[in-house]
Parts: sequence; C-alpha cells; structure tokens
Amino acid sequence: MKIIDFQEKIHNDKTDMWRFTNFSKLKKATFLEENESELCDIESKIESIIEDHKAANRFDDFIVIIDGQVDNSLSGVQNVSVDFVEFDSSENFVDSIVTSDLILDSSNKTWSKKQIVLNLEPDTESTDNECVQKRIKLIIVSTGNNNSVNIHINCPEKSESAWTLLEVFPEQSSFIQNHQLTVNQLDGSKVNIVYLKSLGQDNLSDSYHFLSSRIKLGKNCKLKTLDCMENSSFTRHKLCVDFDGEDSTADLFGIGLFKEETAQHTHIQINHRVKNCTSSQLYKHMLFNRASAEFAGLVSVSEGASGTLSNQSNPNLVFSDDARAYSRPQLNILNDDVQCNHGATVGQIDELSLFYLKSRGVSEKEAKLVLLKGFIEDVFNDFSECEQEKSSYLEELRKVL
Amino acid sequence: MLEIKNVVASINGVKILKGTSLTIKPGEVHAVMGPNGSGKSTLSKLVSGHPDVEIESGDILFNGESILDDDPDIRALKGVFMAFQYPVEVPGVQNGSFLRMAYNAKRKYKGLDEVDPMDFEELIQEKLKWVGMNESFLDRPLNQGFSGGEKKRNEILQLAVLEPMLSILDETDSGLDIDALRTVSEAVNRMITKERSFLVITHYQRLLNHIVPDVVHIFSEGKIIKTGDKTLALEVEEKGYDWLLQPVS
Amino acid sequence: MKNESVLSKKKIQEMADTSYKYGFKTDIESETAPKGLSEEVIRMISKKKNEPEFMLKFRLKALKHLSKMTEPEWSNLKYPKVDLQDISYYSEPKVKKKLDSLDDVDPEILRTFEKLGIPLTEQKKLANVAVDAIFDSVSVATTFKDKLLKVGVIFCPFSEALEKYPDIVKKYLGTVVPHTDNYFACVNAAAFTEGSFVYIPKDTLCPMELSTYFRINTEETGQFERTLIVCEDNSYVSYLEGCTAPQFDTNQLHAAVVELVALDNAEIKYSTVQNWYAGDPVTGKGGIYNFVTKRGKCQGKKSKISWTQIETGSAITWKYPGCVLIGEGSIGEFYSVALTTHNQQADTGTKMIHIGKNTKSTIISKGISAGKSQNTYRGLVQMNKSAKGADNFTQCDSMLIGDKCGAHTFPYIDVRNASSTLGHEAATVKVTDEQLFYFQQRGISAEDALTTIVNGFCKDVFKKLPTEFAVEATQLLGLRLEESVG
Repeated sequence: MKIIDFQEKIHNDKTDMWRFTNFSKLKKATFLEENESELCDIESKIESIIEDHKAANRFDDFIVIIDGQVDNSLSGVQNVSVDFVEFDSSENFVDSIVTSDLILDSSNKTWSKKQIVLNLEPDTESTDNECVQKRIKLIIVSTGNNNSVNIHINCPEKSESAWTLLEVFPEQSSFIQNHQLTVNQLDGSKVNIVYLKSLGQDNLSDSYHFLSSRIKLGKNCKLKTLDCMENSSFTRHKLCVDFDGEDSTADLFGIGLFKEETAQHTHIQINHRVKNCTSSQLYKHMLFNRASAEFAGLVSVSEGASGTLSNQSNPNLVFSDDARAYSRPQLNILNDDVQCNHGATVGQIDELSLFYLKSRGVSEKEAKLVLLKGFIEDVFNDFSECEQEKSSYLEELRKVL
Repeated sequence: MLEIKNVVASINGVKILKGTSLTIKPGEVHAVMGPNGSGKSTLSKLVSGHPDVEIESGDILFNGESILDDDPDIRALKGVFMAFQYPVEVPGVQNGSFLRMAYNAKRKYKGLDEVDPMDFEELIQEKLKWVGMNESFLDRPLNQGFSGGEKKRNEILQLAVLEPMLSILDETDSGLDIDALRTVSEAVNRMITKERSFLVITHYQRLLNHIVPDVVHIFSEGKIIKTGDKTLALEVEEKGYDWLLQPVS
Repeated sequence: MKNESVLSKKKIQEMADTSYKYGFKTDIESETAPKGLSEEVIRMISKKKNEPEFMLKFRLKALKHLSKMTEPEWSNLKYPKVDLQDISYYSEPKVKKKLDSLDDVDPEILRTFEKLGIPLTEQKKLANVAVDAIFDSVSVATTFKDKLLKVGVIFCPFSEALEKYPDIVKKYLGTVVPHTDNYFACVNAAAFTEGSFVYIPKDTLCPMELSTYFRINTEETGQFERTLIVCEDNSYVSYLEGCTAPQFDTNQLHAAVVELVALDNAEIKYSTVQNWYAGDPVTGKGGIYNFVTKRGKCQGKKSKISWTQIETGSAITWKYPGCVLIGEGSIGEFYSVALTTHNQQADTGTKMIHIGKNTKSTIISKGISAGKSQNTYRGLVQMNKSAKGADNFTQCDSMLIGDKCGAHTFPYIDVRNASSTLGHEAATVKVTDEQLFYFQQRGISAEDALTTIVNGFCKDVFKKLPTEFAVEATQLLGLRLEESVG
C-alpha cells in the first residue's frame, strides 16, 4: 500500500499561510479584459437588486461602486461623506514583491489607485446628535475593467451601523477580484458586517476571490461579522481584528456550503492587545463533491492583554469522500490571565438523530434537511436581517441532497 | 484565643471593615449575623489571611500573638480553619489525598510522623460517618462536580479531620437542605470542646438552632453594632435587621 | 494502595537540594572521535562497531542525502543553527573490548548510573524492570537479558543486534523513519552510534518492563541513538526511556530516532521521561537540543501503539512522536506532559496518519509553561481517503504560570473522507488564587499547592505511565516546578 504523505513534513504556520492555497487552477484561467455589451446587463441587474431590497424594506441606504468608482446616480445615501485617498502605488508594489504575503495588498493598492473612504456622520435631523444609526448596503460591481476595490470605513464614537457587502459580476466570464476593506471603529461604536454571496454567475467555475478585511476596535466597541461564503471556484478571505481599546467584543460567524469543485480559504487573525476584550468565532462548513475548505483561525494574546476571553469553533460536515476539510484553530498566548478555548470537529450528520426522525415517519432527505437547518441556525442568530440568506442556504441544501 | 483589634480593612480598594473588634475565648461559640453585604464574609477572609484583604490598621492576635504577617498556610497550621462559603474546585486532585496532605502538613508542623494512606483511611472512617458520606467520596476530584450539599459536608469533614483550635464557618448553612443541615450541625457539635472555639457566620437564625452560640454579634457596615446572647438571634429572626440599623435616639 | 517509589524519600530530598541533580560529570577516560561529520568518520564508526556491510551502505546513503538537505526553520523555536561539523559523533569509555559481565564495566560508570537511580549490579537492580544503560555512544550493561531470551524476547544494544540478528534489523531499519524523513533523522541515519533493540516474537507478552537509560557524559559530543522495536503478531511490550546529561555551558545535540513496528494484534507502549539538562536557569546557557524523530507503524490489524511522554528537561525539545495507522482497526495514542521553565523552549506534539479502515487515535496533551519559557503544541491528524470510519479525539490544554511565558497551540486537521469523525478541543487553564488560598487555608504551602494542582492537571497522562515510573514522574514535575517558582 502506498503511504500517502508518509514523508510529508510536518505542517507549520510559516509555510501554511499559503500551503493549502492551490493556485494551479488560477494559472489556467483566462480573464476578461473588457466587455461593453454586458455593462447594460449589469446596470439593470443592480436596479433590480435595489428595487428588491426597497420592496423588502431591508436597507436604508445604498452605495454602488462600479469598477472602483462610486456611482452617484445609483447610490442613495445620507449622512455618509465620501473621500478618496490616492495611493503611491508604484512604491508599494515594488516593496512588497519581496514579502510575498503582502502581494495581494500591494496589487490591490496598485490597481485600485484610490481608497474610497466612507465617513459615517451624525444625522443632523436627528434630535440625538451623538448617536448615528445606519444600515448601508455596499454593492461592488465589476465589469472586468477593474478588479480591485479598496474601501475604508470610519465609524465615529457611539455610532451604530450595519454594513452589507455584495459583489456583482458579469455573467459567464472568468474574473479575479482582489478587494480590501478596512474599518476603524472609534470608542463605543457598534458595527455589523455581512459578507453576502456574490451575484452574477450560476456557474462560478472560473472565478477567483481575494478579500482582505482589517477591523480596528477602540474602547468599548462591539463588532459582529457574518461571512456567507460563496461557491466560487477559489476564495480566500483574510479577516483580521485588532483590539486597540479595552472592554470590546468581536463575534465572527461564517457559514459555508461548498457544492462543487471549489476551494475556500478562511484566514482569521484576532489580536488581543489590550485588557478585558472578548472574541468568538463560529465557522460552520458543509462540504460536498470535490469541495475543499480551509479554516485557519489564530487568536493572539499579547503580554498586556489580561482578562481576555476567547472562543473559537469550526464544525465541519463532510458529505463526500472526494471532499477535503482542513482546520487549524490556533492559539498564541503570552498572558496567564486569560481564558481561551478552541475546538474543531469533522463528522457527518448524527446517525442517531437521523434514525430518530426517520422512525417518526420523516423521509431521509427531509430529516437531513431538518438537522442541517439546526446545524446552520446559530450562525444566523445575531443577524435577523439575513433571513433571506438563511432560506437560500436551505434551498441549496435541498437541491444538493 | 482570637482577638480582632479595631481592624480597618479593604478589598480591591473598597473599605469593608471599618473598625471591627471581636474577642473569642477558648471553648466559646460566637455567631456573627448581619444583612447581605455587611462585611461578614470579609471577617472570615481577614482571619484566615485571604490575599484580597488589605489591612489598613488594627491587629489580629491568635493565642496572644499577632498573625498579621503569617501566610494563610501558617495561620492554618497554628489552628485557624475556615469552612468556605464557596469551596473551590480543583480538577485531577483526589479529595482523599488532599485531605491526607492537609492532615500530614499539620502533623509535620507538630513534629509528628506523616501518616501513610492505609492508616489514614482507617483514621477517617468515623469522621466520614459523622458527615454521612461513604468512602467513594474520597476518590472523587476535590469538590469538582460535588453538589452544594456535598461541598459543605466536605468542608466539615476537613474540619473534623484537622481538629483546628478555631473554626470559622462561613455561611455553611447556605445551600443545605434540612437533613444535611442537621448532619453538618451534629458533626460540628461533636467537635465542640472546652479548648476549641467557633465563629459561625450566618445570615439566618436556623443554623443557630442546631449550633447554639454563647455570644451573638450583629454586624453591619463593617462593624459590630450589637452583641448579646442567643436570644438576640431569635429577636433578629422575628424583627429582621432593620430595627437594629436605625440610629438609636 | 501505598505508592512506593523507585526512588527513596531520601533520594527525593537529595533531588530537591540541587537544582539539577544529574548535572555532574563522570571523570572516566574516554575515546572521542575528532569533530565533524564525513565519510571517513562514518566508516570509522561502522568499523569500530564491526557492522555488516548493509549498515555501512545505509549510513553512506544517508550522508549523501544529507548534503541535499538544510536545517528546517519552521518551528516556533529560537536558537542558533546547529553546526554539524562542530560535534563529535563518537565517544566511548575506554574499557576492555568485550563486556562479558558487569565486573568488566568501569566502576565509575556503574556508580554514575546508581547516582541516577538506575542501579545495574545484580544485588541492587530494579525488580521486574530490565534496563539497558547507554553511556555516550556505548551500551554498558543490559540487565535481565538472559531471562528475557528464555521467552524469546530480544532486548539488547543496537550494535549487538547488528551482530547477532542482522536479518531482523535489515528488514525493519528505516521502514518507519526513512533517512529522507527530515534533516535530523538523516543525521541520525548517517551517524547513529548506539541504541536499543527489542524484538518480541509471536504470541509473546514481554514478562517485564523494558527500559533504556541514556546518559550523555562527554562535552561536545552529540548523542545519536537509534531504537527499533518490533512486535510480532499477538505480542505486547511496555518500554521506557529515561535521559540525563551533565551540566555544560555549550549546547549538545541529541538527535535520536525511534522506530516502532506493530504487527497483527500487537501492542507497544512506549513511555519517555525526559530530563536532559535544560541549561543554566538564569543565563540560559548550555543545555541539550533534543531534536528527536519518533514514529510507530501500526502495520497489523488491530495493532496498537501508545506514546506517553513526560518532557521536563532539555533547552529545546522538538519532537512529534506519531503513529501511522495502516492496519484495519489499529489504534494510536499519544499522551503528553510538557513542562517548560526558565528559558526552555518546546515545540512538541504528534502526528496521527490514518490510512486503514476504522482506525482510531486519541491525543491528550498537557503543556505547562513557567518562567520565561515558550511551550508549543503542534499536532497533525490526517484522515486519508482510505481511512473509512476513522475516529480521532484530541484534547490539548495549556497552563501558564507567571506572565513572562507563552503557550501556543497549532493543530492541523485534515480530513479527506466522508465517514471519519474527529473532535478537537483545547483550552487554557489557570491556577487561580482561590485554589491556592484554599490549599493554604488547609495548612498546605503555596509551593506544594501549586505542584499538587499541576499534577492534578496532568493526571490523565500520568495514569498512562507504568506504575513504577508514575510516581517518579510526578515527583520530577514537582521538583522542576519548585525550581522555577520557589
């Protein structure tokens, strides 16, 4: 018998940053340069998205970014000022070629040229000037002209905002997206971020997604994120949370349903730099066919970060012998006054529960659906606005089962 | 036996004891009662030497010597025992071996030979019966997964085995049902001798029906505001604490 | 049950009196090879040991391969690169050529082992534990050898095995850890000098514990031992290794390889109590670099390999005792306590490679960091496509004592089929002030309280050790802790 990986060197964090990221498919793909004809398709698509959401009364405001430019005619937004900051791109790119980890960062800066800065501002009509409450949908559209967008969001003190990111693509094309999002939360602010599955193609066989988010929290802040992972052939989402002020909380959630020959990479880094902050991660993956999904979550606790509480969990359900689940829940702790837990499981739908449901006359498929609904439920608990996404996952599950 | 002399002490910078004095003679049973948050439990922490308690002024004498500079273990070896209100859970450490460890520490302090596990097992059989527990109780990890009642019984088992000169019972009655309360009290009563003293800290009078005090103190806002005999406890039971807290005109 | 230790109480007291009681050096004349690794040195070693031709070929192949390798850099460890040319690869005590009986052994060496708590002489030797004592590059004595041979169990120094049982050695050598496996395993394959060999024939339960005791004595010598244990069908052995070294200011390399092979229904229990010199507590100077490759192959159906390690010594520990689970229904286990204090660094864990159907593995790791030390758990659980119905449970807990140390957990979970189950959980555990106070209130000193609580934390691992050594390990842990916080 051939011993697989018998001689494979033990894994380690230095090489593993990229170890599981398989670029071989990327080389083969052909990419869209420009496609005028599809542009109007996209515009109508955006309008219908906006109409849909208005009808459902889900979001107050829209910001539409087409190929890296804010489209004022389509956007409808109040109390958010938009600035642009130019990058000195040449310098960045050359510098970072040496340090390969930053290549995505610098290529983003090179191609996006400008950073779109969104400043949340107090509502002048509101009686309570201190409190900003906003629900904003960011629609990022690519027609192939520009594949890098760099967005920075400034959240003032005590503001409350909910952001939803949605990417829209032309149909039936290969593409690479390399976006960056940075968020600066000032003291006492609350932020919700939802990364939605992209819209555009039914068959995402040649789509490549890179997204890097970095969120900085001041004192007494709250952050909740939900990553509804997509089914493009290649996705790599790096999410970094820095605690810069005490008594803040960050809860990160993720849900992934991987049906096709896809590769999903989630890299999370949480830096506990100051006292008494709490973080949690709950990322649930379901793998079918030839899908592979990597979860790498690192919680770092610095020497001064006493009173840190941290919890990390990555349950995986594997439905196919061709699928591959990687999990690397990691801890780096330099303080003795902390409570950190992490866990990962890989398994199948619980046989006993399935049997129980079947014995009550529920069909196997229905029983599985019920149990899977239970599986994904708690990821959505804190995101009442995502009911629609939740049901779309259930629909997809129904199809794939 | 114990002399607390005008102690002012704080926990985490909050002043809790504001000039507390209390004297307990050998063979006496004292009860300290008082409303929640009056500082009763701090009193037990003070005597046993809990690191959270910072003493600003005053002194504590045990058998005529100040024990302020003694670490908690030295105080324990000298004869101070505290039955914890919330006994601490320690995973992986066997209840029985902990008990033997404490027992041997005390024997060593007295210049006696340590007792091996076989002899120790024999020695504690009777005490186990006192608290109504069987031997399997000793094989479990220290306080881990114990019910509230079991934890309190375990505290009293330790008290019975270690035979301290001064025992402080910190709200031992909380979380006990009537039967357990009776068992625990009977175990304590067996321990009362002419030499040994007890300081019973409690919120309710019901424990004092079983363990009858010689002296009752009412504690409020970090001070003893009234001292009497066991009838004082009954009076409190009937009228509550409020009448005592009113300034006397 | 009385817990009677191998070590008397008095000896424990002696242990407590010195910070590292094994730090002495024995003054005996020894013959040491010139520094450096070359074909010449390897031919010399092979000739000195009177080895068969295949062994020399094995060594030279490894040496050739070594030139293509570089020292790995991926670990969570900080140390200057090891200069392989600055190490002597062979050192033997100057004694008569053949050691026929203990009378021929230098009394100084016997005294050394006695001081280490491993008496070898007929009158004093440990009951029911057979010991192979290895001093630098040479095995000096093996007790109970004849008694074991009567039931067919071979327990002897590696060099003797090459002489007497070359066919068995040839069949299994390098089949679990090939010379290409990693840099230090490759160095070992080229230059190993001694080690233990154990062969348990079919349907045999080894009647006693086997134990090898390693001692580095000479400065600037590396120790490169190689252990091979083969268990035929339906056999069982429990094996323990212990290690110490004198206190030197220079770092010494210990690059051992251990290979275990378990055939159908065979079970190997391998325990390590590692207490190499950890370097100077204050300056961090000196100490052993413990870069070890240990792996077991569960080749047979329902075979079982169980690793238990208590790692308390060494300046740097870098090892991942693992199991390759090939046989259907085979079982791999890893139980580890790694304590680092002062300036120690440890990057240790396991690899469980599931290949056969319904294979099962359990990992329990307890890491304790104190002082300025860094303690890393790194472990791989891989379930291949063929490993249908495989199962793993992993629990790795860390405890930090003090605010200058670090605890790191890097698990790697890789599942490639739809019928395996895996559960990994990890947590940090803290000794709370309330726990310490509770002990103190019962008259137990803070130091004793800490030791007891830490031992409680490690209990699940200690109970996997053979009883003879469980007590010793508990005491060792206590001593190492007291040094660091006392």
